[in-house]
This record gives sequence, structure tokens and C-alpha cells, in this order.
Amino acid sequence: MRSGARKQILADVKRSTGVWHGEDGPEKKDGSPARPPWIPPETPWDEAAKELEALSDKFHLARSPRELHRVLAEIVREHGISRAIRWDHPLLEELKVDASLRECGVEMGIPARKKEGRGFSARADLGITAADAFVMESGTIVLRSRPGWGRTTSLLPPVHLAIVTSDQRLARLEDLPGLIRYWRDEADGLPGAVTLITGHSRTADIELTLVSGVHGPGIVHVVGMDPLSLPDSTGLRRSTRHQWPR
Amino acid sequence: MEVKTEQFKEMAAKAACNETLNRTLRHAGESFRALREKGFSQLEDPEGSRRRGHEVKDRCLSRLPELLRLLEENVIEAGGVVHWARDASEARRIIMDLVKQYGVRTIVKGKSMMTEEIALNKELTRKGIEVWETDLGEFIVQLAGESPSHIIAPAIHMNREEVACLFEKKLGVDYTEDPEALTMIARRVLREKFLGADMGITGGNMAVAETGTLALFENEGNIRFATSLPRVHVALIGLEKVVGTWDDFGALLNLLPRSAAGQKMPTYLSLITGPKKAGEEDGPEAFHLILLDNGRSRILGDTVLRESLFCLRCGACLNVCPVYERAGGHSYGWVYSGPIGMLLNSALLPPGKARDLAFASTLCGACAEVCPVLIDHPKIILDIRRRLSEDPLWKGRLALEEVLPMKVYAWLSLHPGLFRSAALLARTFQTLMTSSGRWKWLPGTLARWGEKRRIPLLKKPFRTRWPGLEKAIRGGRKKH
Repeated sequence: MRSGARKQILADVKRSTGVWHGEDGPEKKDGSPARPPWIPPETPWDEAAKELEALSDKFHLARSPRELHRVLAEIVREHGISRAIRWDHPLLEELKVDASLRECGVEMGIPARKKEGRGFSARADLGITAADAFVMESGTIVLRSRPGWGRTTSLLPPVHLAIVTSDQRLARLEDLPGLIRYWRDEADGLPGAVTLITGHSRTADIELTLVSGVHGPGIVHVVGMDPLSLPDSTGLRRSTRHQWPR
Repeated sequence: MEVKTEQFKEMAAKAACNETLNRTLRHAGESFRALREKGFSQLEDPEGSRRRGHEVKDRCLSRLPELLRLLEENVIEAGGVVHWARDASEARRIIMDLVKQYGVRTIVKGKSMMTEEIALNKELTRKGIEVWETDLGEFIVQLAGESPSHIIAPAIHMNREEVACLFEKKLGVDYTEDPEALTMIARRVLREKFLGADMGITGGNMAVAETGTLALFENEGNIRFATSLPRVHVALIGLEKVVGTWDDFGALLNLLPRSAAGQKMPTYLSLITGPKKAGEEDGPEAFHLILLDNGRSRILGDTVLRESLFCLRCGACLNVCPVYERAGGHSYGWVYSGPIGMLLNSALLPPGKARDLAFASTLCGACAEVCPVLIDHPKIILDIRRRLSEDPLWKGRLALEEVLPMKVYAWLSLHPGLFRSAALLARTFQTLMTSSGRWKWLPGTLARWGEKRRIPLLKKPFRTRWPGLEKAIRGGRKKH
């Protein structure tokens, strides 16, 4: 029955498109770029900061791990955070995010290492991720799902914080197709989910009144960092995922 | 969804007299129009972008057989399963089989017009499966036992008092009219459902053939939940949602969120390629993509109706339509409403079923002016009307009171002497027939026709005024 449906639909579609089909051209292959069109890391963050502000979300610039520590403390205070979850990610390890937050009295959890399931995550006040890419034009965070980089860390807690390094930025939304193709052609291909996040969860379904945080976070904090500001002890500077011409 | 397109006239007449609804829809139209305007004004070349969107849909639909096969191949390669459904009942059967196969008891749904098209919720509920709509608007509409009345704002027809009463009654919470408080109640209720659901069912805005990726646009995050927490994700899309490449996708990404709500980007854009990979803690273990035809392959071969398959479901044409604003979404009697609803309902339902919808247009063309992929609604509507007029079934059903006056008028037009006499008669006796622009009396069913119409009084005919007018115009010209 099932294969019958497939055969018939394809035949019907073929018959219908036949009316239109001038030439049966071969699939146009989009060449995959040698590397995504990252913008120079010294480009200022202003455009994205303005975009995020317009969405009532926040951008912070942290020039050093010490400044990141200050930003984290400020966010903990502002939202009264007592529990946080984060990705199992080398950048977050290197930046010693756990130590910073514990110092502020926050209980930390890494969903990928927790045996208790989603209980802790569901009760967390803050979720921390590290972006794979970022679009300046729209303030869009791009996250790939991976083991340890869970899809719900940026979704379950009411506050989401994403760290973006200045070497993983795209200027425009039209650069996204190139980025996706670049990832497709990498060794492990496209992940199960690429999630693009532009501001916080919102709805206007009741009388078009805008309400924040309907299902996901009610606010998003983006922290911009210069990878060259990172300590070089574990070679993270070298291993930041993208290279750019110096 | 039950087809009520034949009741359009009655439902629209009723809606047009509902002042609360009129006010709500007027306000919604204004807001959405302003948002769209803002979104498009930020584009460097709005017209070029729309042309490109049109071109992408045109090209992808022309190559549909090839793209469908490529999509299937890539979804399978990513570890997903592809199902093909010829019609609504096949699609329902596929989903019911999956429900059985995975031992599903609770389902969370993302907003999907396709599942309305196959009337899925009714079937699931009948089989004792707990199913929750999770988009706030859809959730409200589900609790009210209604259907969505706008493509992107499903509960637009309800005001806060109605939602407040509904939540108090159905969810047992304290009465509150505050949209924020109401939204937080929904968040709390639905969060529990997400955490406990076995299956997530969504639609899809596009499917990119070259990688087998499903793209989902949203602002709330409910679709992310439905595709991240349950162990099974089932996505149901129409055949026409397939695009070839990521560049095609990019061209439409540029248009859809701007056209829908004036956004550069939706809050969340999920690009789903198969189920979760080994070692991932979130994401479904199984991913099933159902490709539904349900009349689309037939429309595809229709030189004129084909263009209705370009639709991205942004809702912009609803927000500018004077008929939608007065008739509301439910009057259209099936899944889709507004100008695009007239086209899709007419094309997807059995011939003649949505007859009245084809006449629910002033042909003002506002819809075509805003369509992000340049669908020419008025042209298609006229063609549907032409076909209806040629259809013997429809011809036989034309009421005498509609046919006769037209015949008489046509005949009089060919006989100028008699035309003048008839006009003189009408001018002489018209004040007896009407009072302050309303008909006093009309024979038979014509009375109903006259009920809603103002009749202007005939004045001195243009023909007799012309000589004087001509002189005035000529004289005026000479002076200069």
C-alpha cells in the first residue's frame, strides 16, 4: 500500500510537471565554500548589540575572562539565579564558567553528565551555551546539536546565555546558506538540529499583546569575546573552531 | 476538518454583524500591516526579493519529482523515515500506525495547517490518545473546541475576556484577563505536557532536498520543545514545501518572517536533519517525514491554479483583505481563509464545493500587492469564476433572479429606444419602490438580495447631459 502511494504520487507529480517542464536540467550544485565568510574579528559588535537591544535582549562585551566573570555575576544578581546548566563544551571549560558561577552561589549542572535525567535541567534558572556562529545583521545565535551540546539547554531555563567569539561571526543572513553547506561537507556532516535563535521566546496570540517567555527563555544574553583574549594554556586559542586570515 | 465552505454566505453575514469581531480584526489587520511594512522597508530591493522568491518556487515546483526523490534519499541517509500519503485518510493511517508502533499515549503538537487538513486531532482523540496543541493560539482554540481562524494568529478572533473565561472553565485557574498572566498559565500547563509526551507532531515551512533538512519557523519555542523532548518526531508536510538547495531556502528565508510579522528572523528557526545522532542527550530517537499529496499533484498540472502552491503561509494576504476583515477566518469554512484560502480551498476540495468562496472577493488586488512570492490572486479568482460559469452543474444552479435581470439588461442594451423608455419608466417610479436608498419591496428571493444593498436613485441620464458637458469642456479648453 505504502510503496503504491509513493509510486502513484511521483507519477502524478511527474505528469503534472511535464506540462511545465521545458528542459530537464541537472540539479544545480551549489559549490561549497572553502570556509564560511567570517567577518574580520576586529569588526565592532555595535550592529548586533543594537539588534538585540531592539528585541529587549542583552549584549555584553567581555574583553577577558575576568570581564566575563563580572558579566556572569551581574546576570546572576539581576535574575536571582540559583541553578544553572551548561553545555559540556571546551570553551566553557576553559573560561572556568563553573567556578565563576559557584563563587556567586549558583549550583551548576551539566546535563550531559547528569545521571538523574531532566530533573535538574527543568528546575534550572540559567542555561549557558557556546555559539557555533552568529549573524551580526539580526543578532542571531547559531547552535549545532552535538553530544554534550543539548538542544534544551537554550530552551528549558528562563534565561539563556550564549558566548560568541569574534571569529565566528557572519555579516548577513544571506551568508547562512554558505555556512550550512560548509558544515554539510565537514567530516560529520549536518547535525540532527541546527538551531537559530534571534532574541527570546515570545507570543502575541492574545489580542496581539506581546508577551515574553511563553515557552522558552524570557531573555537572552549574548556575550561577545575575543578569542585572542583567552588563555593559551590548553591550546584553545588554536582550537577555536574557525581560522581567519591574519 | 469538517468542510463548511457551502455555508460561507450565512457565516460571513453573521460575522459581519459581530461588532466585537469586526473591531478585533480591524485592529489585527492594522497591526500586521504596519509590521509587514516595516519588515519590507529594511530590504534593499523588496521587489527584487519577491521576484526571486517567485522564481525559486516556480523552478522548484517544476522540478518536483526530482526534488522529492532527492529529499527522500537524504532524509533516509540522515536516519529518518519517509512516508508518502495520497490523501488525508492515508496520512491519518500512517500516523495511527506510528502511534501504535511506538506505544504513544501523549502527543504534543506544533502549529500545523496540514494536520488541520487531515483532521488529525479528532482521529487521535477518538482512539484515546491524549493530544495537546502547544502554540498558544492553537492551545486556546483547542480548549474552545474551535479551529484556527488565521494562518499565523489562530485565536485572533477571540478577545481576552473570552480567553479568560475559557481558561477559568477548562483549566480551573483563577479568572484573569491579563494576557501575560494567561500566557504564563499556558506555559505552566504545557511545560508539563512537553516533559511527559511520547511523540511530537509538527508541520514544516520548507524541506531542503539537497540535505534532507526540515525547516521550522516559530516565535514561541513550542516547536523546539516538540522536536527536542519526545522520543519520536513526526513531521507532516505538503509536497509543495520542498525546495532544492540552501540558496533557494535563503531566498525564501528573506521573505517569510518579514511578510508574516515584520521580522528579519523568527525567534527560533530549527533545521532538522534526521533524528538525534549517537550520544546526544536531547532530540528524538526516530524521525518520520510524511509527504502528503491530497490534491497537490493535480493542482500542479493546472496552468492557473498551480501558482497557489507557491504560498509560504505568511498570512499577509489575510491582513490586507477587506472581505477577510469583515467575514473573519471561520466563515471560509475550511482550513485556509482569506484570499489564499479562496484559492486553496477551491483547489483542494472537490470541484464546486467552495463555489461561494470564489465570489468572496472585490478583486481589489491588495492580496497580490503584498504576496511575498507574487501570487496573482485576482487573476486566479477570475479564472475560477470563469470555470464555474462554464460548468454545466453550476449553470443549472444559477438562480433565475440572477439570470433574468442580466438577460433583460443585455437585451435592452441592444435596443437603445427601449433602453431609454425603460430608464424613463424606472426614473418615474423609482421613488415608489425605494425609500432612503433601500428597496421597499422586491419579488421572491430578490428580497434577500435587496436586504443588504443600498440603491442609488437614477438621475438625469449621462446621454442627455453630454451635449452640455461637451460644450463646457471644449469651451474651457479654448480659453487656454
